[in-house]
Amino acid sequence: MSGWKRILLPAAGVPVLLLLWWGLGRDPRAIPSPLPGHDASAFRLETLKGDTLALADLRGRVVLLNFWASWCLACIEEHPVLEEASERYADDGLRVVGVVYRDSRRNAIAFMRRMGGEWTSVLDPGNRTAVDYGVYGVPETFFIDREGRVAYKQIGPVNRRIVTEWIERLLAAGHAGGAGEPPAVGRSEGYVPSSSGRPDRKSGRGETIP
Amino acid sequence: MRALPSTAAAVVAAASLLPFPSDAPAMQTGERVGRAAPPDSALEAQVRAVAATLRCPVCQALSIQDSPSPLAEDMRDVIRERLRSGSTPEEVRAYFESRYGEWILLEPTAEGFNMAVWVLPVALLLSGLAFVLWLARKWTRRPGEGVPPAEPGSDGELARFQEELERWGGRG
Repeated sequence: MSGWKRILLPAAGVPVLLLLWWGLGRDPRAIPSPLPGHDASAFRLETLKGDTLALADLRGRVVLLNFWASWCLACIEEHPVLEEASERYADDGLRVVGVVYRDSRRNAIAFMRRMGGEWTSVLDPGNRTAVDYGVYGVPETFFIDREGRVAYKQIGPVNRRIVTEWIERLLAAGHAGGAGEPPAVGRSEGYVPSSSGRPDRKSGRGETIP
Repeated sequence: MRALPSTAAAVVAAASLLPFPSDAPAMQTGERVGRAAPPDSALEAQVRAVAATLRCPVCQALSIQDSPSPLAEDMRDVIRERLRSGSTPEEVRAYFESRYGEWILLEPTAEGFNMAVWVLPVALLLSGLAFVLWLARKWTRRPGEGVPPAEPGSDGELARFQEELERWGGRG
């Protein structure tokens, strides 16, 4: 066989190997969400204490909507971050709201009592709200701006860096009247003011921080 | 025959190691036990049809219809509620796509870059076939087409073979 034909077959394998190297290095769980840039889904749910909380009640505040469960180890890991943010930015207009995912009221109350933290959590019977937010595991946290739009979705536990950057961005945006550039952290095209409320597949992504 | 009882014993012994099929389904976290199955109807058939086209976010290789995870069960409930309240199957699929993203559809929509998913396998198959055909023709090419073939039995060889045949053939 002549020279170039001999290496043809092995050479054809090279792009395949490159493709595998790139593809297998990606995290299959880091799936972009279509929600950033669109209105956060409304809900009206019962809190752990027995009151009712609707998302609309929080319009005008920056909301950290955190889906969690007492059996979730990563939720334990991120809890101090939420607690610190909840206290630090309370006067600036931040509300942390938990949504209990597949867990009992009793477990949730015991968890909050054990771990600390004063913020409200709501129960989500039938997981309708979780499906509404495209949740498929815990923890997942949604950063919602003062106008009630999802700015960013974090899959997996939040850390201090993400929380601080996004909260400060969203708190400032409410006062200044415009979002400006989204922060570099989060690799998100997140804050895309949409003129229509209709979800557009192409706009807005929220990705995990590795 | 003496071999038979020991073979039978071996078969019975092997069979006894197999697990008996059980009616009890595996428990999942949070699974509701004792929930009556909804009556089969046209609605259920529609739910199944829609669920079969959506990917389970937890067991990502399975459809919501096939997945045993509790989230899939909740999503089937959502499908049922929406269908019952008048949404069309397409609207239900659009709802899930707007919440979870394009990947929730098991079959990517045939537009834009996604066309590659549909076109590429066919293209690769055809080009692979063409390649194999070309190879096959090359390998089965007759010797006469290029290289001068070796003449069977040039003069000296033929005479020698015949001589040896005569010498040895008579013995057998």
